[in-house]
Parts: sequence; C-alpha cells; structure tokens
Amino acid sequence: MKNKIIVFISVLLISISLYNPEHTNAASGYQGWAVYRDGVQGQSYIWHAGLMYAANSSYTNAVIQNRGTGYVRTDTWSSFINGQNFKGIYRPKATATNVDRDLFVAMGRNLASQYISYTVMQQMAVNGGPNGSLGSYFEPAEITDMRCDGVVEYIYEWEGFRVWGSNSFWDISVNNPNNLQEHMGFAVRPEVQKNYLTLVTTSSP
Amino acid sequence: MSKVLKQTFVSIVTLCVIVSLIFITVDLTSNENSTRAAGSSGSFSPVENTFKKYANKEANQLKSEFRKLKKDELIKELNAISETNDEGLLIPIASALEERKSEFSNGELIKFIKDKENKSLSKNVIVDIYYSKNFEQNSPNKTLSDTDIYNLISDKAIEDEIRAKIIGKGKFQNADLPILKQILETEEGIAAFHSLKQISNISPTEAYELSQELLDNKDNISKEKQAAALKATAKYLKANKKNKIKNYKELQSKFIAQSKEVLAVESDMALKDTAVFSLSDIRSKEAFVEVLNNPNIDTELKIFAVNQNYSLLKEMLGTNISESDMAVVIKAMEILPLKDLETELNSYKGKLINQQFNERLDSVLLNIKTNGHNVNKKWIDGE
Repeated sequence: MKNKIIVFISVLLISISLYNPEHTNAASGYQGWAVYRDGVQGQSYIWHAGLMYAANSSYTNAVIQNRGTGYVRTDTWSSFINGQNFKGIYRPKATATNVDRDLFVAMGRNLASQYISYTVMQQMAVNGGPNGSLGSYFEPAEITDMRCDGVVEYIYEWEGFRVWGSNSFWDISVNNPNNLQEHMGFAVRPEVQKNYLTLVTTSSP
Repeated sequence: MSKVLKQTFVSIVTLCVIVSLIFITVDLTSNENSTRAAGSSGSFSPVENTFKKYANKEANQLKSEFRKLKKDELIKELNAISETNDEGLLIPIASALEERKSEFSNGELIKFIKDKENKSLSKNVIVDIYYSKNFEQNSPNKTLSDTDIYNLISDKAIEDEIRAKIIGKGKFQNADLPILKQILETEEGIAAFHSLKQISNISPTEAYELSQELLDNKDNISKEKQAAALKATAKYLKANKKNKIKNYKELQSKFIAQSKEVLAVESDMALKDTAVFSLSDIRSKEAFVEVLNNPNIDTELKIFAVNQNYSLLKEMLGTNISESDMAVVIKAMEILPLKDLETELNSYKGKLINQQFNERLDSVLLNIKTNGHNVNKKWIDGE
C-alpha cells in the first residue's frame, strides 16, 4: 500500500513537472479594462473611452482608442488623456478571467490592425463588401468605422460580456439590424456606457 | 507756510489722482475679464470661446440647443467644435445634423467635404451624413459609383483619412477595379490600404497577385500597403485551402515565410500584429503552427489564435491523430485550455504511444477541469 502511494505521488509529480504551459495568466495590471476621461476645458459631461492595452499608463503604447482623426490604434497615455480629467477604470459587470482579459487586449490589437475609421454617429458601422455578404457575426475585417465607446463595446461583447443594450439586442457583434440599431445614435455615449460597467478604481492607471 | 501747505496739498491731490487712476485701470481690467468669462469674444481665441460656450453642458442640453440653430449656423458650429479637436463634443451636434439631413442637398455635402477650409473632423461627420442620406438600409447593395461622392475617392486634395473612410464604407464592383488600382499604385496611406481591401472583396485572386508584387517589394512601400497585402494574401489562401488550387502548399509556405520575416525584423507593432492575425485567419494547420511556435508572437495573440482555430483543432483530433498533430493540439491546449475539446482529448487518454505526450495530455485534461475556457464559437461562423 505504501509503495502504491509513493508510485502515485511520483507519477503525479512527474506529470506536473512535464506540464509546460507557455502561458498561464498573461494579463496584468489594468490590461483589458476600459478607461474614461472627460471632455476638454471644462466639459465634464461628455467623455472619451479607450481600452487599456498595457498594464498601466507608463508604457509607451498604453491604450487602444479611436480619436476623431485617424483610425483605431494603440496609443500613448498622453494622447488618450489629452490634458483632461481621468474619470475611471471600468470592467464588464460579469466576472472576466485573466484569459478573458488577454482576449480583450488581443481583439483590441486586431481592431488596431484594420485601419478602422472614426465615426461620431454610432458605436460601429459595417460593410460586407459587394454582395453584402456578412455572416452571423461581424468580424473585425467587416467593421468600417467605430466611435471610441464602440471599441470598448465590441471588444467586450464579441467575447460575450454584455455592456449596453436591451436583453434581446445588446450584442453589437451579432449581424441583426436590430442589434446595430440598438447601438446607433445618441442614447449610448461614453459617459452613458460606463454606467453599464463596473468601476474598478478612479485612480489613474 | 501757506506756500508749503499749498505744495503739500497739491502733492497729496496729485498722489490721490495717480492712485485713483491706478485703481480705475485695475478695475477696468477686472471687468473686462469678467466680460470674457461671461462669453463675449473679448481677446480669447475662437477655440476658447467655443469651450466656454459649451462648458458644463450635458449632451442632451447641447443637442437641444443645436436643434434650434438655423442650417448655416449649425454648419458653423460644427466647424467651431471641430476646431477644438474634442471629438466627444461632436456627438450631440452630429446627432442634430442627422435629424436634419434632409435640409442638406448632396451637392452641399460634397462641397463641404471638398472645401479646404473645413477641418477633417467636420468632414468626417459630413461623410456619415452623406452615407446616411444615400445608403439607407433599404438599398444595401447600392454601389458607390451610383453616387457623386464616388468622384472624391481619387481626389488627392482631400485628406487621406477622409477618402479612406469613403472607400472603406462603400460597395464596389468590377468596373471600379481600375480606379482602386490607381489609388493603390500611386498612394501610400490608408486610402491605399482600403483600396486593396476593396479589390480583395471584388476579386480575391487579383488582390492576391497585387499583394505578392507589393510584398516582393516591401522595403519600398508603406506599412499600410504591406498590411493590406498581408491581409489580402491571407484572405486568398483561406478561400483556396483544401487544395482548391494546384500549388497551394507552395503559396502558403511562401506567405508563412513572408510573415515570419515581418515578425523577425519589423519594429512597427501594428504591422507585426497584422502578420499574426493574417496567419491565424487562414485557419490552416501550417499557418496555425507558425503562430504557436514563433517566439516573436505575444502570448495573448497565441491565445487569440487558439480560440479562433478551435475548429481546426477539433478536426485534427477527429480520427487517428498523428503524433505530430497531437503535439500541436497539446501545445495549443497548454496555451488556452478549451473545455469544448475535453471529450475528444479524453478519447486519447492513456492511448498515445509517446509516454511524454500521455503525461502532458493528463496535465492538459486536469487543467481543463480547473481552468478550462469556453471557446468563442462566433469564429466558427466565419469559416
């Protein structure tokens, strides 16, 4: 019996030693969380959103965002904050693991590789090409423009983490006119979006 | 004595006058500042005046104010807000413009976009207004060439990012290939990127051939064009895998080598990421293995690739998996343990010839039980 226990423990230890995960939990600091700041020069009601690409703001590329000019990109903290007041770090209401956060950041990097234009009219617009052929879900390559809060919305909802929208049409990545319509217009904006997330901290990352 | 008193009196009066003048001057300056703070043009810049006008007003209130403006005032305010470079402030005015889009003719909108006096931020909004007017949901297949905004895509006097937006949002057809190729050939910015992307939508084969020319000359082209070429090549290879074309293996090998080089030598992160995502997008074993094994790829992107290539892994686990394929699957599961492959993996438990693989498989199955992740099945839809 004693020998069997020794053999069992030995096999267990060998298995554990041979376990060679290249990665366990890569996400660190505030990676994958949404960040917000208010508007310029006394405009405290209208906010801007981004997603933390790096663990904190000290990294050269700290944020994934879409400003009014250019396209979705990784960017510096100073470009994101733009001299304004930081308003907070937020995460999805549902619990996200470190793997989920890795996927958030990875999707953000994917969006940043697509040269997606800016739009102020809605969170996201899509184009299926000449035949309008889009699948059941909008993939990154099918997105034509995004607003800053659209970047956060899509990244979270692609992975199934609900942010803004009704019970039926909250997922912005679903190819359904109602889902896109739900994320259009004026009802949702960055300063509204944050109410559908959970505050992590008001301290700057 | 009286003379002394007189002189003293005059001195005191003079001093009083001087002091009074000083106080009056200070008071006048203070009043002027107060007047500026109340919103008059004063000596503040137009941008500062815009900020002061809209400071501490909530978005709904701003939209309500914009709704009341006359048409030309609305455009003037759009430009004023664009001058601030605060894109957030554009949200309420853009919403008001959208409600009133019928007041603007297509000609007026085109003229606005062409006008060099108007800022890029304003033009961005007007492009959206144009699209909203002309490409409603009931005309989803309307092509860009049916509209007069089409003429702007090759007008280099218009900002690259504005033309890129127009091209990106539009639908094109075979007849548009010459103009898209011309933009691709003569430009280096994001308009060129989106031109190749649209060529790829119309003719993936033609886009592939153009892409190979670009990648063969990559040291002399922009990052944007390289990125577009990588993506168009991946799209072509994905569509033609499973031996739809005779020399597929050679073409794929060449692309993997091209991507590896980008990952090894390129410093631009977005371009490197493009190479990774392009490889993962193909959803082929060879391309996926490159992502798994390449040391120049961050772990979070490998996790992304495992998630995206779930169907490939499931297929590999199908029947009588080879030792080399099992090594790939085990490595993938060590990066991202997918619960959805537990059943297939369990069917090989203890049955692999390589004892080390058996042990690693046991570890993977243990990890799936404790830390397993549900695959995102949205990726399956795109295969």
